[in-house]
Amino acid sequence: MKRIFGALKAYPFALFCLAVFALLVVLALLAPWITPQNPYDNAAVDFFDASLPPGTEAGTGEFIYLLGTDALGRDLYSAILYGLRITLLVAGSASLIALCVGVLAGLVAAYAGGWADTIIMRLVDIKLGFPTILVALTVMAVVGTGLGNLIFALAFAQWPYYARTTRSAALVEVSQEYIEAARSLELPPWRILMRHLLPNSISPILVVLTLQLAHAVAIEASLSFLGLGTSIEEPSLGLLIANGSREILSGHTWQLIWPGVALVLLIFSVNVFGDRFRRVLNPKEA
Amino acid sequence: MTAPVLELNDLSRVFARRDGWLDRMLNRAGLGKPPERLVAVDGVSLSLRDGEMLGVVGESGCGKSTLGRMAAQLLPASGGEVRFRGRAISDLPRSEARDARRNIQMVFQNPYASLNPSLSVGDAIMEAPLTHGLVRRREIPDRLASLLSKVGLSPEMADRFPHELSGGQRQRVGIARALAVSPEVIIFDEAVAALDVSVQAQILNLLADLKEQGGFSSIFISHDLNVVRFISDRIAILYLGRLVELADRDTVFARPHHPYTRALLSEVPVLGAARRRFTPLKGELPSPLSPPPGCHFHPRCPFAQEICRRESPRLREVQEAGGTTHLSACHFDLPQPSPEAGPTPPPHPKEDSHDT
Amino acid sequence: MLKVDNLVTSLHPGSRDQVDIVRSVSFSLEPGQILGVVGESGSGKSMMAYSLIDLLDRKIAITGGSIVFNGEDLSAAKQARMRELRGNRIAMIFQDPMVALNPVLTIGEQMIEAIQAHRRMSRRDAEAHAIKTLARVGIPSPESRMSAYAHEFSGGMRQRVVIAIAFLNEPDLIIADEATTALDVTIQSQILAEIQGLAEETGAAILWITHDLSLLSGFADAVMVMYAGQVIEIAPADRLFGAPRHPYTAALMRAVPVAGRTRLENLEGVPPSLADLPPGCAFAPRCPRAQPRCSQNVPPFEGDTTLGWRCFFPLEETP
Repeated sequence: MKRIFGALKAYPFALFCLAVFALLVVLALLAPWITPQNPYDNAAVDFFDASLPPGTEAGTGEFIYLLGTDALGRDLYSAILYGLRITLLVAGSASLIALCVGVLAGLVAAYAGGWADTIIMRLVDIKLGFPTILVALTVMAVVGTGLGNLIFALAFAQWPYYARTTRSAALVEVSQEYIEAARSLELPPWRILMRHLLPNSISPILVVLTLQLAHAVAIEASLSFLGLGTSIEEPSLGLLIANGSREILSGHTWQLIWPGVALVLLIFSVNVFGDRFRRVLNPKEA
Repeated sequence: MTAPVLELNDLSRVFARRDGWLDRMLNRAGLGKPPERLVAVDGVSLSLRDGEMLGVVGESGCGKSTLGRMAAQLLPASGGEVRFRGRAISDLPRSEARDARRNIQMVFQNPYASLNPSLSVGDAIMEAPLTHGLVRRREIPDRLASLLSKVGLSPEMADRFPHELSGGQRQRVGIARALAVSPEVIIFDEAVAALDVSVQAQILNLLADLKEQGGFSSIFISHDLNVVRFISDRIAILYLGRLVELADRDTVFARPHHPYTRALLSEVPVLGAARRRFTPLKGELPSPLSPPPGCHFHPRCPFAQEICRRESPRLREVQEAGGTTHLSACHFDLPQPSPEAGPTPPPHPKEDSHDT
Repeated sequence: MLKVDNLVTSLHPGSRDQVDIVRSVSFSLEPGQILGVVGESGSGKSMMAYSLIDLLDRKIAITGGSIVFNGEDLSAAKQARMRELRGNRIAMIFQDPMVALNPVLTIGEQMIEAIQAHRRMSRRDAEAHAIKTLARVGIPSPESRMSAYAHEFSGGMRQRVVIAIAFLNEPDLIIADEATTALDVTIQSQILAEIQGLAEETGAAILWITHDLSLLSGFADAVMVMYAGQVIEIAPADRLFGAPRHPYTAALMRAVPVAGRTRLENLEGVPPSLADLPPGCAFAPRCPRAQPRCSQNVPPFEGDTTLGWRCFFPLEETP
């Protein structure tokens, strides 16, 4: 780990992106304390302030709409930070679930081999044969909208990436003598998986995590944009963008631009960092 | 008499190429390539006596590592059985089989691959005894210290990680890890082959000491006759998956019976020998994928007769003055070569059959 | 024919992190002579050999001494000249024959190419010469093997092909780095026999690098022992094995298992890191004969390039 961080130091832009991502996460976490308005609280939102340009003072005179308001009169700055929260919550928990399922499947496939390997990897192949967005769309169409379903759909669409990477990393380790030694010592299989196989296969999995996190954000945004994601009362970034795009002809450009900027920053920072991370871990690909 | 601690009974291992479904279909239609079969170990029987170190010698591809892995239950046998204290491990109830397998440990060749890079020395050694309830948690420091000192490492080593250790130190950790579960049998698979001469000497001395202290029987697998001669009590010689000779160490070196053993002995480099002409065995090692018929050694054997091409010789007890068992798989009782003259000329010179 | 004088090779030359990995190595080689170079890993034996033929990594360079080959100073030679010499006057044999063989060309094509690169010879003559050389290293039915690919040979046969290629242009010097380490004993002694015969026949000098002391004892004419980048002893083989003068050589010999030995020399510790050498003799920390002086001053090399050692307190010469 020290080595990896040392190698990353040589790429200040990647570290800058990591910092941007961290800043976005912190902003999202602190949203209730650093925003003037709770955009989900109908009592706090003044419908008469709809579609005000940035810099306008709120009708109540208590604060200024830094980035303007949306068509429902919500403070855009507050809505973006709250939307960021939702987006990160959805993408983050979906990625974590996909990670756990995928890593476990990959480890079992690599260690057990035989028919377990065949079944797991065939499932992975089938899934990877379809575009992720299509799978997520289909799942959403079947189970319906809602936060929980959205997370489920994303995790369902993404676990195979983790499984595939984990399996190939673990296969290299399985043939090592220390795994044979562990078997010879009659250690229980779960222990061999978790204590011997997993820690030594972890770095490529972390790379997949960063890249898939960015991907999850993008898919969540797409689904929300298409109206299959979060509800209008509690919009994620994607839904804010969708709403904003409808206002573009009315000249309310800020309603599209600022949520867009936030989304691009988020995806871009995670992607750039993940890509550099991958190349640091696997210099051959660079 | 009690049963030997470990018996390998007619043990075989066949590796077959795993065909894809297309190959299988083609095969069924008689269109595909015939499936390749590699007989890595071909009906080897050995029994390990209490407290002894049995050397298993052979060149690459002779199946010695496969044999070791089958004995350690890391690889299933295609035929035959492994008996621990007189009972076939495959027939034992689950928990007893586990116990038997725990009692057969292995020390590996590559000190850089045989330790989990993410476990400290202490964790690597104590993990198994803890999992199996062989030690209590509070006994760990003492037990660990005694194991480390047994393999010649200082107690501070417990907190080190493999990448901080030299090859010799790693090998010592590997030995301590095997000893930690108090096994009755330890299989050393080329355990000193990857080490520098001076480090190899340290590890061999350590093994000699451990053997002296007793507590386990062992199989020492190696390609290096000099090393096996130093450490083993009895020596088994394998050629292309078959056992060709088995006898006490001194018998093997003083009165080798099988022509292959003799060739091996005459060609092993000996320190201090004056500059000499090498009088090598002719011919290459045949591929284990298509071993020669009859006696596997006949194409290279200076004494081969017609029968050697047809019939594979049975392992039989050969004339022995000392009274200890001396087994050899040769059709003939060839006269012992005089120590200086090198291989004796064949009794019936035969035409060279190289141009086949 | 080959005279190496005070050769120094360094990692990161000229920078603050400069580490000398070959330290003041001197020796000479005569036609037909087999010089064995023995040492443990990190002794600099391979780096020394690669220095001779300029096959060094970019971070490593010769920083001192001279290499005179047939009257020509190689340490000053241009790369183009070195390329000309390699494969023609000087040949290499590595541990892994696949390094030297091209997997997509037949053995015959590679051999003919190797001949024609250095000699004006018709294709037919080159082919005949290649077949003759293959036969000479003991490859059965060489005519038909010319059209085979490297992967169609067994390990031992492959190494024989490499040796045949090395001898193709009847070089003056052959450098073999652990050339038989990966082979089995019976195959190894076949190869050693071929090499001995070829050296005698063609007059090629052979620098045979190995970690295996026993192998050299029946094979080499002279042996050079390296430790921490230095030659610590050099002597005719019978003399070195009969009466080693340097304590390291003696310890190494006592560490090899031989008949009747029940205890091996316990040479404690490991060779020093070249980046962090002890102030005096590099072997002093492990030496059973070390005196205070040994850890203060570096012992000079006593003797000449055929017989000498680097020790303040050498072992007595036993008659």
